[in-house]
Amino acid sequence: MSIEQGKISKRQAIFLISNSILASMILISPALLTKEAGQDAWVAVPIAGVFGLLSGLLGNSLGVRFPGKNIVEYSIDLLGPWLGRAVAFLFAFLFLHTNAYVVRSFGSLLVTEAMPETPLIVFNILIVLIAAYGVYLGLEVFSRVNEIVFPLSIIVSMAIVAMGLPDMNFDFFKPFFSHPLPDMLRASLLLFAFYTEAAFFLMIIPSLRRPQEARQVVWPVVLILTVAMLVDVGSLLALFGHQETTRMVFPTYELAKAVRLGDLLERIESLVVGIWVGTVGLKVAAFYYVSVLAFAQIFNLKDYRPLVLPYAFILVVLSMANWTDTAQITLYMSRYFPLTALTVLGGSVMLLYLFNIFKRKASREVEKDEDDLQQT
Amino acid sequence: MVLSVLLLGMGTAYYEAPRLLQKQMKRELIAFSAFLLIGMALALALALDWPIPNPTRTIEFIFRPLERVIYPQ
Repeated sequence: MSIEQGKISKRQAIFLISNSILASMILISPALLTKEAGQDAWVAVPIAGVFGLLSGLLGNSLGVRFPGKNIVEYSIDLLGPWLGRAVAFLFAFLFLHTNAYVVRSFGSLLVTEAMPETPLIVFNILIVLIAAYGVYLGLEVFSRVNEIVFPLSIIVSMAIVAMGLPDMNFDFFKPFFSHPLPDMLRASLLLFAFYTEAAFFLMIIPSLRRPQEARQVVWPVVLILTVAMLVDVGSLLALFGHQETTRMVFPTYELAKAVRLGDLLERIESLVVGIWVGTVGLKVAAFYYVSVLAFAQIFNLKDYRPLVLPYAFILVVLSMANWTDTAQITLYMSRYFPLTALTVLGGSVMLLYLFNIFKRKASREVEKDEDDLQQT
Repeated sequence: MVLSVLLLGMGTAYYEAPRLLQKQMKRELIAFSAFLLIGMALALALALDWPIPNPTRTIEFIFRPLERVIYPQ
């Protein structure tokens, strides 16, 4: 008996995961990638894609073993009521914290680039309210909205990149592969951390119309993300070169600012901001939903909705108070976020995986003993 | 600021609590109240410029040694 009654299709799941990773990845990561790997930043994208694919397959193979249950439920089953709840609490809290980060970075994008005179807290409250409304209506509702918004955002981004093509200079990519492997790996570690955010899908697998299809979600998601990031990083490098990209805080936004279509169409960055309000709002909604649902199940509630509104207070305050300025936001994202996400999300999935294997082995041995007893 | 926080909190309680009471969902009511109290406390602390527990600091403290190893200074 699960809390969520809504069901989502495979395509909705693919779009939801892709959007939830891409929305802030495309916003923040390019400048950090070029900082680590210079003009070879684009190489980090497929490397991270391979890691993402492997981790996605691993995580999903854990999920499909318990088709009717989400990660909190089987963590309690496998690790016992206390340790299981502790792991689930860490999981839920990480999504709360990451969500606060997303809200904060999006708020500071709007303040620095679009509306410098409005206080930051206004944007944070507004985006959290949008997300809270979506979460209150349930998984099915915001998944369906996402099914419209995500393809739209991809189409707009592609159109903007296409408009930038005439100004691009692909000599910026040379010299190829001049950075050592550790630099590349550090850059792809950052992207990989975004991929691990897809662990929120482990809370949603039971809500799939056919949970056994969860495995088929991984390939399309990795493909969408890799292609989108390759296009984004590639066009940024070709348009600005890696040194200028590194100096920017939100390079993709600058890209939209720079392109124009003859004398007809220019300064289309407001369109981009509009699209981003949608995609980031949906990302916040997805993480919001997952961590509220996880908290509700940790406390054995019958419904997650009572927690939605109080959670909004916590989310807004954390997003305001946890980071002091843009420099600290960037530092946190480039260094501490990858380590935290990898340790907590990767660690909890691996722990559950290992426990599952041991438990199955143990139960098999018990069965064997019983068989032996019956035979003698 | 303080007043608006209090009003928002009361509004939330007024919106959510009667339904929970009506349906006799005791557990949910307790969890809701606990979350709302934490949220209100944090929001009041933000409004009054009091120190707020900062998980980011904790994370940075825990991972600093590892960060030193991975990233060049």
